[in-house]
Amino acid sequence: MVTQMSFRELRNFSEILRFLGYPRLVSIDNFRKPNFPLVAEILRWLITRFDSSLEVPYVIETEQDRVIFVKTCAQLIATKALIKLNTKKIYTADGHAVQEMMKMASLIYQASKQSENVDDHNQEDVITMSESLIHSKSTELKKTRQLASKITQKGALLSDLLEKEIELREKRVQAMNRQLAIPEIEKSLRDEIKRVEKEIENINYKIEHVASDEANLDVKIEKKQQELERYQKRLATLKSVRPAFMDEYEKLEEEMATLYDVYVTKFRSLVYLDWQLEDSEKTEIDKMKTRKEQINRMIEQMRKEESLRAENESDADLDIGINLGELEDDEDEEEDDDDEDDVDNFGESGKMSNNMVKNDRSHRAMINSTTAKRSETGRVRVFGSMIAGDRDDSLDSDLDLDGDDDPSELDSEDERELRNIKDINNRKGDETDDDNDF
Amino acid sequence: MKFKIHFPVSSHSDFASCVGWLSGEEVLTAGDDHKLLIWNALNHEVIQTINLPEDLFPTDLHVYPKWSHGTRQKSAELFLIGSTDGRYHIFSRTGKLEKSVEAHKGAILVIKWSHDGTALATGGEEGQVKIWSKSGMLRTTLTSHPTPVYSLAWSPSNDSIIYTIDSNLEIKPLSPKVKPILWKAHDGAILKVGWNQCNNTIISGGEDCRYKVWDSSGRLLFISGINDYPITSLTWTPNGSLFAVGSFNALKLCDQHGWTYSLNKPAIQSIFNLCWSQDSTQIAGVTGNGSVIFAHVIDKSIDWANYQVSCLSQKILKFRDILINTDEEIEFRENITQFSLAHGYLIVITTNQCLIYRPTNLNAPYTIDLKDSTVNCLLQSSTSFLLVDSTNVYLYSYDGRFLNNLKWIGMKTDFLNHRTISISPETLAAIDANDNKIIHFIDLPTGKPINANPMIKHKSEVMVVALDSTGPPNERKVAFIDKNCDLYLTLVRSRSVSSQIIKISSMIKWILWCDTANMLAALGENGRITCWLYPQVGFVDRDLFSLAVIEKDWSDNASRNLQLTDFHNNQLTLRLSDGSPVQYSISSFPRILHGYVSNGKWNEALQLCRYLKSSPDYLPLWASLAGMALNGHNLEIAEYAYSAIEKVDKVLYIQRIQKLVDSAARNAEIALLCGNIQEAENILIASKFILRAILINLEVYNWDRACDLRNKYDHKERIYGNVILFYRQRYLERFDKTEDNKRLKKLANEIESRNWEQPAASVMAPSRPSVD
Repeated sequence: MVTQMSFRELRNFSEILRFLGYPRLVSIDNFRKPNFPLVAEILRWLITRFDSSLEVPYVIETEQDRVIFVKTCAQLIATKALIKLNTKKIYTADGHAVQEMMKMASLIYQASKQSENVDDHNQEDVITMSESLIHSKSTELKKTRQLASKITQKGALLSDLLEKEIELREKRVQAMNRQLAIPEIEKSLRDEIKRVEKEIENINYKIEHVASDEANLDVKIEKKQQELERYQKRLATLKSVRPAFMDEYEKLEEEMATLYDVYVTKFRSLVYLDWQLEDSEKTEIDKMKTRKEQINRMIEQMRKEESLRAENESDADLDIGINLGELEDDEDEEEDDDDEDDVDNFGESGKMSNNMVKNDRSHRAMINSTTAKRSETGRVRVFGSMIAGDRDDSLDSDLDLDGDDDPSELDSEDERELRNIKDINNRKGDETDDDNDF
Repeated sequence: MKFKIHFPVSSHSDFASCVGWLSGEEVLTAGDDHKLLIWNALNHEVIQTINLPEDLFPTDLHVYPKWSHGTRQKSAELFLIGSTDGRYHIFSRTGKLEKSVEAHKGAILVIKWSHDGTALATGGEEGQVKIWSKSGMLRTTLTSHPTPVYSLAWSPSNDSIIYTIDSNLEIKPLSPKVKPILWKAHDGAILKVGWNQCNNTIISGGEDCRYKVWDSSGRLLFISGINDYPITSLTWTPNGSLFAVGSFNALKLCDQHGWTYSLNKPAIQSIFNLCWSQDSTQIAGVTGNGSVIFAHVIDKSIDWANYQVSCLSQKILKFRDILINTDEEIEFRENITQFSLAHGYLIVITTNQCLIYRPTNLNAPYTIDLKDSTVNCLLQSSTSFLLVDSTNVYLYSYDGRFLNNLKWIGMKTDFLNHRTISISPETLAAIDANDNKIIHFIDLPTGKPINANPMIKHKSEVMVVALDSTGPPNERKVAFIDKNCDLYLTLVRSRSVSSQIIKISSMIKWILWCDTANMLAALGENGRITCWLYPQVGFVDRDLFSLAVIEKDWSDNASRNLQLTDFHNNQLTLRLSDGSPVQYSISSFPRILHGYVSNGKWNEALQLCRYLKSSPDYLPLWASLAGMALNGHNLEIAEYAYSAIEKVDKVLYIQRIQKLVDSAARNAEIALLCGNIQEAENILIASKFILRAILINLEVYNWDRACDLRNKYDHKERIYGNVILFYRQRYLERFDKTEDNKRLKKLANEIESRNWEQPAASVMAPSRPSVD
């Protein structure tokens, strides 16, 4: 039963099936003994490999069914793949059947292997196609498009011409069929000759007249040249004359230059003066700041003194007041300036305190404005033109809504004190101002 | 570790089924296109094409095992091709058809030379296995079954053959008396089977898509998971450390214990056959679509101390120092075949050279030109290293100096591997290749067998041998495992004439000596790791042997195939059955203790042991110290140590020895304490304590020896004779026996005066203070 070739066949067959992706693993030993169901299954699977549309009746229960099955399979394969199968061998369903099925399987195997190779090559080509190649291909594409349109045009033309051919053919045939009469030909020839002779005459006449034409043209050219010369002379004379307004113009130009110089110097000095003004204002502000600080400091001291005074009432108010007044003027200014800085730095968070300070300051300003001497007016002006003035106003209004009472209460106390201080301060104002000027 | 695969351009046009290595550089393949191609393995090009007859479809090919020992001829370079018509063909190396032999009915499926090349075996489709002589004469038909023999393999000793019967495997000895072993191995037909010569392990793969590893008696060691396709090929490396498995579009590299290093999936259809090159670094395979593949192993790496060496490609090694985190690449001109890193030296074997590096200086290696390009085995000790090529065993020093060409009786180079040979600084131990019961000892400086103890003969076959590499030469010990997995220990250069062999454990799979201290680790059959802290104690006091031990049980980790791979300092490297390495460190104190004792710092050693009073290693350490002290004749320390482990009898005995004045008597008593009667007697005789020597023999009832001594030394008015008789009389009375010893009867007659008091008086002599 075991044929000489069977081992290799079996091994190769199972390998091929594995390669083709047969859904189950086929053992080498599967065909040692007849195994019809497996053979039938593989056979059917192979046939569908050839053509997936083929349907094989898969009934193999009885002997008759099996014979029919094998026969239909063999027929299908014979027609589809031109492979002759030995039905008897297949029916044995052992190694011999494998030999038969091997014919089919190896065909598919070779094909798939070859196609695999082709695929590989294609892939390689795709991979090797570089960017530049694609570019050149695109230009080619354009060319071919143009050519294609040309082809259609030419084709249309050609078809038009070919349509005429039908009429032309008739005429041609007629012409061909016509009998040629000699006298007619002679006559026509003579007519032709006459016509040609006339033409020749005409041409000869024209040739004769060429010379006169030439002379005419020469005369015309000369005239034109003379005209040109005349015009050139006129241009030269006009160029040599100097216009009358030229002197005046030059004079005006000079004047203009001097005026511009003047303008520049004036502008420069103006800018310089502006700068000086700014500078002086800045120094002024600085001075004010220092003075306010001094005043604030004095107020501080005054308060302390006040508290001390409260304790020992019997002490003389005036003496301390005078002493404090001298100091306080400086401190007050300093403190105010500090407060201004605070306003800038604190922003929103410092609303409350700022406001208090602000109110405080405004009151103070009022007092100052009413009672101040010449030197203190500058200070008032500074308060008015404060950097963050607008914002401060808005903050004030906000706070008025929130809590009118608190600052007013506080203020009233502070005010009273301040007023006292100011009064004293004013009395000694001249002396303090002198100090501040340094 | 993994494969790097090369695909040559040209190939067979049809199925290719046979492959073999002709030499280190040449590969032979054959296929159904009737062509025999000889390839150059270096550049993967075809050198030669031989056309086979049109009707010859080759099924299997085997090249004559050139590296085998014995009859070495030029014409021996033959290869066999089995074909589908049932004939096998013998070819000469040049491709000339020498002979065709009608062998089987149906195709020959497998054909194999025996390892020694004296015979060949064929397996046929009709189910027969036949053994043929080298010239092609039928010797025997080994077996006959109705199913095809898809594969067979020779046993390492060439005395049996394993072959496939459908899904079963059978090991059938050539001699008819021995019973064959048959077992069901797979669920489907088995397509390939392999048996390695070095590790004596069997692998098999079949259509159930699994491969399995078996030991030589058919016990299952490893079973793989189910692969996608049947296993169509598998083959061992010649050195048995790896095997390769081929399947449909798959090539696996596996460790000898079965777990997988790497899997490659080249689109080449089924790999029908695989063959390793002789140096175990390259593999060639033939496949279903006719292509031939070459692959070599890369990414192999070795760790030692803080260094790691790994092989990046065939020619580049990467050397890494973990402590300072530096990488260095060494490039070689030739292919690397082997490398080894131990004892602070890196040794690299390339095709024609051997290079020796120090990790501190990788730029200037010592270079040795190899006489033979095939190095079977490379072993390192702390002072020298051993190179085993196909014919000789060479010893070199680490500065590249040739020291010796070693030879001994029963040496067979292809039998030598890290199991059968072991090397220490001045000694080499090797199992006899012909009679595995014998272990030879070679003195390395002279290259000759050790005079005192040239070899030992064990009662059964020795499987693994291992020498310790530290300690003084006269305490050199060899541990070996025999066929029954029993572990024995013996001294190589013992002082006494009769060398003892002591059995220390059973069910042991693998042993390793520590490379820095005198410790021995053994891996038991059931995943139990035992570490003897001071094996020398076995020759000093056997009682301590079972105490000076640290044990660790790994059986709960479900590791049937635990491996012991390295023992450096106090670090044991283990490999679990899935291939993952595990570091297991034993206590570092034993090593420190060894260090103290070897430098004579007894007090520090004592302090260390006292300090570790609460440690779990307390008892083993004290026991080791007791052994060390006794071995070093330091009785004071020994007394402390023995009292710490509560050996009162020993303590008392030691205290009495300490009272002795005479150094010879002391040494004799220590020898007695160690159970070394022979040595004690020798010492006593040498220092003229004859009576004491006789008494020792009398106490152990060695009457004949006592009489010998009396006859030899008795010149003192027959005192010795009286003493002997006195003891004999007491003995006879106690056991209620009558005199049956002729010599003693004669002695009794000689001595007329039976005065019992006199010997009693002589017993009180100062030379024997120990008798009550």
